[in-house]
Amino acid sequence: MNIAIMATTETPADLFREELVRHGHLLPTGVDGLYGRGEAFEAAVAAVDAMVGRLADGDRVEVLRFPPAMTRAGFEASGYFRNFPQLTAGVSCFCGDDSAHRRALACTPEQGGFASHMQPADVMLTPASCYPVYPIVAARGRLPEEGWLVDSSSYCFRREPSVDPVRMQMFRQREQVCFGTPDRIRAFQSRWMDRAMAMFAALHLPAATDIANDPFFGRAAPLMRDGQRSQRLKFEILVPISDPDRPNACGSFNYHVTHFAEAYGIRAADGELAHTGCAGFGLERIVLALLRHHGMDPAAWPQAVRDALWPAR
Amino acid sequence: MEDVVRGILATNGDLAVPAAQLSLTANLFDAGLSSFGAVEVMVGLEEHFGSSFPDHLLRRETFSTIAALIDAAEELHRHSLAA
Repeated sequence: MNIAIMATTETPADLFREELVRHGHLLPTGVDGLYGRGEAFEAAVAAVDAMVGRLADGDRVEVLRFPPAMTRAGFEASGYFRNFPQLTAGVSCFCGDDSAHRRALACTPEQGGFASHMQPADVMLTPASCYPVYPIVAARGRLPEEGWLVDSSSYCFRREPSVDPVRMQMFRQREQVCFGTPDRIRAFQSRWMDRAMAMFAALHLPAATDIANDPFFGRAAPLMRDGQRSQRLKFEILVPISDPDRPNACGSFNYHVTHFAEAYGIRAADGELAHTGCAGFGLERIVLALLRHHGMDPAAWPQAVRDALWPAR
Repeated sequence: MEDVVRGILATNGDLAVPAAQLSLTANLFDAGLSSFGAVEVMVGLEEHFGSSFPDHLLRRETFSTIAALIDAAEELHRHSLAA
């Protein structure tokens, strides 16, 4: 009886995760949202990553890659902790001497274990792959007259453990970051939404666009969400993945106005604060969408989808 | 009530121009108020009246002008008297 009840209370996310694990695409670590990736899954991630890169063919773009960590000062300036403290995570380190080391080793789990002897380091985990870009561009001085474009990618971390495989704590983002005038950023945002919709169509995924808002923290969240929506600053491309009734964002297209320019001191060629925007893709989420819609065996995906992902050279 | 709102805008939030120089209908976001600055104004008004913003007032429009903030402050004031 109990078994029957358990079987019927599994959510679509539970069932999807079980299937992904059974096929070796995700390897559970014991922490929700933290997975190893199997070979076929990684091959598909690499193919989606390359496909996003092909969308940018012809753009004059500076390619930058980052580790999944950034300076605490750079992180602090971004304002992320103000808006999303619940998603924030930093790196902690052991800084003691021999005797402190012995005390840490002797510390029982009930006393907090060795981790209670660690201290915050000057390194935070990167919440979005575009974040390390802003201080680097700011440090170069004023932007060129025509603005600037960066192609950025890294693993990202957001502390939101979930059984739903689409909500990972560590995942990869591929982002295009645009610097320039408001007109340039709006045109960039629109261009990348068109490119992304064409990409999802080529992947035979049922994608839709919508105005979006971020998961702001605390009581002021409705105010922040309303501001973001009413100014039409953030758009998302949504695809149903784990749950057919609750589509997930696989792409995000953001206009930051002068938020990052003020935070890091990014100046346009004329000395005014620059405007910035970014277009980002969640690589794991797109692969999860492919697995959900086309089956667990990438070799059996529709030929047109495989051709889009792995074009003949 | 206008003095209360102007006083809170002068000490909370992040307006780029002095609150005293703004008309009742000037757009505060155009005058430099950020989203987080609006949250600071919200907290300042709540502390002044000892009453929490009701959900229907947690909108960008509420913080867009001094006139709108006066309306919200009057509602907070009524809530604090009724509590």
